[in-house]
Amino acid sequence: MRKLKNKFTHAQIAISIICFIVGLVIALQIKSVLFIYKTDPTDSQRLDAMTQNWAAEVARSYQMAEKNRELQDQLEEYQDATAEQSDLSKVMAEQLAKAQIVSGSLPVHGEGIIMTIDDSKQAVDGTNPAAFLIHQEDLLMIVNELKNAGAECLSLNDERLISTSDIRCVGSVVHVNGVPKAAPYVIKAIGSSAGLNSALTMRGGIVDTLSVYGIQVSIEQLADVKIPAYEGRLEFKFAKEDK
Amino acid sequence: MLQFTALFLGIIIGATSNFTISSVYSPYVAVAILACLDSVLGGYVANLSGKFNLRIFASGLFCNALLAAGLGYMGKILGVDQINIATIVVFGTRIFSNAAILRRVGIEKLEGWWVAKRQARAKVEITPDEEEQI
Repeated sequence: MRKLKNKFTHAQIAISIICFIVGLVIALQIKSVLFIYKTDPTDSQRLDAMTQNWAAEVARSYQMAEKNRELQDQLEEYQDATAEQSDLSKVMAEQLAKAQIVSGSLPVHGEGIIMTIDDSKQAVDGTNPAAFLIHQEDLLMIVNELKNAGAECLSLNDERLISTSDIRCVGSVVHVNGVPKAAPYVIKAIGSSAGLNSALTMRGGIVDTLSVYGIQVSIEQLADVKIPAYEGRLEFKFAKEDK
Repeated sequence: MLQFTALFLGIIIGATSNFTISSVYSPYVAVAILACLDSVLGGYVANLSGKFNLRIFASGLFCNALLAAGLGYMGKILGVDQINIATIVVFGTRIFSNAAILRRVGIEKLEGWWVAKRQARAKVEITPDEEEQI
């Protein structure tokens, strides 16, 4: 130990120890900064870039939706033009209209019901606060019940529900066809308004189950319910015709 | 030299270990590192001029590091994030001036060493001639 002290002065040993610590801390700091930059989602630069991207994509999606509507109108014109020409094309036009109703590419109207549900306004009594809110399961049950009762077309908050539509709980809102929608939820269904109403209000049915926690439900039977067209893309990457 | 190897060793150990500084502290650690670098260079300069005092060095190191981190934290509380700029400017200035002193001393030492070497070689060349003459 004395040999070491003779070779190096106090000063040098002290400075070396400090150098060691400084080197250690520099390396750790660089590592953690690199790590943060890679994984921190709130890094302001990336946040700005992503916000801009998102805004641009939203604007593009509106443009696309408009273009889509224009093209749909054109398509309808062509269909009307051909349908007036012969019986064969009349039949084909009818089949086409049916297919379009099912696929959701046309807005539809007819007799049906409008059901409005909203989160419970009752005071939360602490047992299970989530039970006083509407979840995707409730919406899915309602849609299923209506389909069972013979609903021909359905929409949730003006999003047309087609065969591939999903209703998914994301945080505090629900995504329908990928579009976020919040309570109150308005479900429109076209079918026999009496039949649909009784399917929902039967004893032990949906309305009773929801009312237990005070979820507000109101059902209107109307002679004419309008349901908009499906605004998304219909693309089948995997499904092919099976002839 | 001992100090450089110690620094190198510290960097290698830090780079290969799994320990990371929590991201909350990283801005404060950054300015504290700057304060420590300034202390190290200052200590080295004091050592060279023979005025090294271990107590002053150690206390200066910790006080500067704590003060730098504390100032940064105060800036964050007050919402004036730019207080870090003052810390960085001051310590940067001192690092540069200390490094300049070290550089000057080092080069002067090197020049002195060259001159001494040339003189020694000149002396060696002179003596054999004298012997021959005798």
